[in-house]
Amino acid sequence: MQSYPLKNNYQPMPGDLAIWFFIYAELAVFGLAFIVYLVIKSQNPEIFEAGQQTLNKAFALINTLALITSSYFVVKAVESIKQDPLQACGHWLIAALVAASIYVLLKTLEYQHLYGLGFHLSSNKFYTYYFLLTMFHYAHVLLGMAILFIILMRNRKRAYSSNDYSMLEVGASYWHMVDLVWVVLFPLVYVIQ
Amino acid sequence: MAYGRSSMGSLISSSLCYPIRGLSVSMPNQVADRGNSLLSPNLVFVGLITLTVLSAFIGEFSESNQGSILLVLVLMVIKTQLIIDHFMHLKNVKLKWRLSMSAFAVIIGSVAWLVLW
Repeated sequence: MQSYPLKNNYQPMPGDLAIWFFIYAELAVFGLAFIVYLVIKSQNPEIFEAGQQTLNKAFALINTLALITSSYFVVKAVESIKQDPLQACGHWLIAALVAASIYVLLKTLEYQHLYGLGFHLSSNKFYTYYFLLTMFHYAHVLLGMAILFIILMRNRKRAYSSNDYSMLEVGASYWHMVDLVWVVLFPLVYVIQ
Repeated sequence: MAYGRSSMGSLISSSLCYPIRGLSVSMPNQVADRGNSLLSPNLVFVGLITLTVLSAFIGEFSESNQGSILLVLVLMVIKTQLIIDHFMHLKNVKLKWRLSMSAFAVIIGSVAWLVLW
């Protein structure tokens, strides 16, 4: 049966408190950027519709699935460390990095394709906001992958255990934030026309 | 459940939290019980994949109208809530932390709805 938290029986935030302030700050920045994108889009519907037609929606869908899968693998990594099989945790983290690499590869190919067609930051308002939003997120993915890689290395040195995995939760929380932002970005930039 | 531990374990882990409950974080050498959910991560993962494909399908094959935009935005909010509750494990933390995270997608979805329609 599903249980609900009683008063004063809430669970603590996963990981370290500092990462949550960082995550909330990041979401505020992304949120503001999305709202600006939407307002500019409503003022320039033709430019944005034409711009959206040039985007590779299949790549965007695969990227979304790759990031969700990667996030799921990180959940499994945290789950496995609680049961103490360090080997399994490492395997899940490697799987998460492989899934994230698919995103990086496809996004890089997409940028390359758009640059090949002559579209760049200053082409028009759509591409300005498209590149700013997606490249900002792309940078977060790279940072998240670096964090996951560091966690993987530390896990190999047995830095975490079933009793002490707070830093693993910190990295996981950041990675889920990256996934969360893309889950919002995907429909706004690629799906809704 | 996938994260499940005994209720005794939950009691012990709760008692180990920092005294300021709203600002509490996992202490080293502390195992917080983040279970208490009907949905396993596996099920949430399948749900997220299904909703993503459905959303892409609607965007690709349906006419862009009020209904389809609203549906895509609702799917977006549901997906973010699944991630917040079951991947980030904020389902049972203090409500203000959970709601402020949920507000991210709800506010953007609402703005999108107001601006695009």
